[in-house]
Amino acid sequence: MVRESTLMWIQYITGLGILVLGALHFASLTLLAPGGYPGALEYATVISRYTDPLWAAALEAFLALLSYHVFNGFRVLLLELNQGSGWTKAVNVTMALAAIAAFLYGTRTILVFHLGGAI
Amino acid sequence: MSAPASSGSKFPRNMRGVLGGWARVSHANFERWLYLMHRLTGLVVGLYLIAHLAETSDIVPAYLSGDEGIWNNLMQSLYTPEAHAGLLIIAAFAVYHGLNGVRLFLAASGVGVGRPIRPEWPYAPVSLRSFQRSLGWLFIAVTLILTAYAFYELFVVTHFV
Repeated sequence: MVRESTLMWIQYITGLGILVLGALHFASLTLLAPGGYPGALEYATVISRYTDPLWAAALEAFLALLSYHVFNGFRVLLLELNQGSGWTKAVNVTMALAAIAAFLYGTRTILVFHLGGAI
Repeated sequence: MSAPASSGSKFPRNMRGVLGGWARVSHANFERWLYLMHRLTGLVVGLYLIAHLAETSDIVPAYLSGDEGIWNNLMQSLYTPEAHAGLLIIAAFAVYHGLNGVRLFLAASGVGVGRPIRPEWPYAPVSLRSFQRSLGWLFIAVTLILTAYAFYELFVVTHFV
């Protein structure tokens, strides 16, 4: 079983990564977008982001870090709602599965552009 | 004194961790408010992530069928002052959570919490008179500046021009 202190250390590290990639994500929607924010949401711009390997890799890394950070954060909040080994185990398992599901669902959106619509 | 046990648990149910704990602010100091806001902003931005993954997945059917309309219709329906007000809150919360997270990371690493001293009157903890508190205010200021920029992008550029 992973120690809580290790999970929290990963929470900090993923948080710092999210800070960098989140700044890039916000910049890609504003400063780095052709035509600013309105232009960032245009179909052609969005497709160009997803099909570019570097942007896609950045999005995928962002998604991986967020999946851990968000659902571990939810886990911490939920564990405080109740006590008991049954509750702890249920929350741990549910949040781990939810994190994996969110990661796979988001990955499908990113990868579909690189696998020729195979998924 | 025994408390009623919750079903299936060998420990007594104790909601004080929430209602008498992090959500109780009647005696909160500055750092405590930052902590409450950190939890609230994290919860809101985390829930938004789930909605955002669902929302952006609409690009997949648009791409596979070659029908741009699927994506454009969704974007058009979200291009409203109400939706942009929601995004402004998300942007502000995300920036706050990220910067305050840096402050917490530094505090956990022992940065800016001051050196221990002999407890002497007026017994104000050194950690509350050190760099950490200034950092809290600095990050609130940066959050407000970046939120103003988000307001410019989400409202001035889109609805006022």
